[in-house]
Amino acid sequence: MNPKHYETAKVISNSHAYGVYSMKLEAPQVAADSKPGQFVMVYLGSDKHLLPRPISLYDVDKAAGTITLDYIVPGAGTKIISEWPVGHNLQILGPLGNGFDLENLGERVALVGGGIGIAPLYFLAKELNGLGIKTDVYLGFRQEIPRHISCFETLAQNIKVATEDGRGGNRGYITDFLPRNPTYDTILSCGPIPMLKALARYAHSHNIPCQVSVEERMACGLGACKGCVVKTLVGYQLCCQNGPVFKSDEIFLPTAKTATQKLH
Amino acid sequence: MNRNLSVNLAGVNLKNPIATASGTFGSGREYSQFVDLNHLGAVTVKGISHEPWEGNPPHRIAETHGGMLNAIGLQNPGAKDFIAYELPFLRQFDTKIIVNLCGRDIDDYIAVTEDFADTKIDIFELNISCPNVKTGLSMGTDSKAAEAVTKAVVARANAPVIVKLSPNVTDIVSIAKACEAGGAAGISLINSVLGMKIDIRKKMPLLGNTMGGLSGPAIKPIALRMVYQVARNVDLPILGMGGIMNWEDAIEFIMAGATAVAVGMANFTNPCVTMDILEGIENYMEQEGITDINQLRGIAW
Repeated sequence: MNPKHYETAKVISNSHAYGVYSMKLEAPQVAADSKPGQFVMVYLGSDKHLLPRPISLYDVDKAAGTITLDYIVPGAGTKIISEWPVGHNLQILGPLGNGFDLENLGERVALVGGGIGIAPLYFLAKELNGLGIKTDVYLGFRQEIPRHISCFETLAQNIKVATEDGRGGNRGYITDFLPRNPTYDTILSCGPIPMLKALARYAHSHNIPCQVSVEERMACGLGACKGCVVKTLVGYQLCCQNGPVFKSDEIFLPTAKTATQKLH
Repeated sequence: MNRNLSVNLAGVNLKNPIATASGTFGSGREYSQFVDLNHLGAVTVKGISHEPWEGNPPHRIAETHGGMLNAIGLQNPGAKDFIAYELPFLRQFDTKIIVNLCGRDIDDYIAVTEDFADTKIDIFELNISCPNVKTGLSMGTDSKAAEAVTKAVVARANAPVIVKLSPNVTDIVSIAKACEAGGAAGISLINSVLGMKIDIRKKMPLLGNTMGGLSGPAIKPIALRMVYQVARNVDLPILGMGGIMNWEDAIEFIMAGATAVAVGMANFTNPCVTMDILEGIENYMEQEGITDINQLRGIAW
C-alpha cells in the first residue's frame, strides 16, 4: 500500500486571481510521498459540511515540505477553504489515488489541460522536465486566463493557450489547436469531460496512448465507501483508488445529462 | 482505577463497545494505516452478497446539511472474493469481525450465509434494510418477510445473527419483535433514511439512483429514538448507530439501551474518529466514576 498520511497542515498562503484560488500548505509528510496526478482530501472542520473535498496537487516542494492546491469555488464547502487565513491549521489526507503513469512515456509528450483541470499539470510538467522529457503544453479556458500559466514557460518546449471567447489570441476549444499530424508518444490530460472526450477521440485516431484525470463525488478517498465510481471497460472502478488517472481508451466518459430541455 | 469497557453483543465478547458501521469502513484494510484495528471492539465489513454486485450508476454520493446521501447499491466483489482476499487480512487483528450479509431474495440470503460455512466469523449482520437496492427495503419493512428471512439465515449461520433494521417503517418495535421471533441474537439499527437531492442547475435528481440513504448527524435523533424504543420493548442486545460523530453521541446511544455502537459517516469526516470516541468514553467514565460501561446501558430509561 502506498503511504498515506492524515496530517495537520498549515496555510502558508491562500490567494485568488482570475477565478482560480491557490493555497500553499506546510504538509511535509504528504509532500514527501506525492507524485503528479495524485490528490489530497481537505477536511473542512464544519458541522454542516462534513465530507472532505478532493483537490489535486498543483505543486509539491519536497525539500520545503509544502504542497500547493489550486481550486475553484463552486459551492459552500470550497468557499470555507477560500476563507482560511495564513497560519490556519487544517487536516488533510493524502497523497491519494494513482497519479499519472510515468513509465514508458516516450520522448515527446503533450500535456492538455482545460479550466481548473490544468491544476495537476504543473507538478506533472516539473516532474517530466526533471526526467528530461520534452513537453508541449495545451491549455484551454472559458474566458479568464489564470496568471500563473506563465510558470509553464520554463518547463515546456511550446505552449498554446485557447479561450472560448478568443481572449489571448486563439479562439475555440484547445483540442482544436492540437497538431493535425502529431508526433507525440503520449498525451497526459486533465479537464472537463467534453474536452477529455474530444481528446480521447483525437488520441485514438492518431494511435497515441492517452491518460486522462477525471473527478467524481467522493466520501472517504480511501476506497472504502465505493462512492466515486467511474465506468470503465472492466466495470465500475473507483476514482479515488484506481484513478483519478485512467487510460482514455479504457474509460467511458459520460455525456452530461440535464433536464433543461423540459423548459422549452 | 480499573475500568471495564468490554460488552457482550449477541453472546460475543467485544473488548469495547466501539464498532464500525457497514459500508463506511471497507473491510478494515482501507483504514488500517490510520486506525489500529486491534483497538476496535468490532469491524463491520461492507455488505457481502453471494455473487458480485456492480452497484448503482454515479453519482453515488451527495453531501447534505449535516449529513450525506449515498446510493452505492451494495457494490461488492461477492463472498468468495471477500473470503479469499479480505478476511485473511482482517484476521490478523485482535478485533471481532461482523460480516454484513445482503441478498435480493431469501434464496440469495441463504446462499451467501452458506458461502461462509467453512469460515469463522464472529457475528453476522443481516442487512434487510438497504434503501438502495430494489428488494432491500421490502424485507426490512414487513414483519412477516423479516421473520422469514431471519429464520432462514439463523438456521444456516455458524455464528450469531443480528438483524439490521430500516428506519423507513411506521413501527420499528414490531419489526424488531419479528426478528426476535425468527431467532435473531441481536438487533442493529438504524440503517440510512431514504432521501433525495435535486441538482437545480441540471434540474434533475443528483444521485444516479434518484434516491439514496441519508446518514450522519442529521439522522441521529431518529436513530437514538428507535434504539430507545427497541431496547425497551425487545429483549435483545442492540448495536446502535446513526450519526454518531463523537464520544458524547456514543454515550447517548448506550444510555438509550445500545450494548455497542457503530460509527459510520464520521469515518469520512475524520478517519481516526473511532479512536477519539474510545478515548472520550474512557475519560467520561473516569470523570463520572463509572467502573463498568455496562452500568450505563439503558440508564436513561
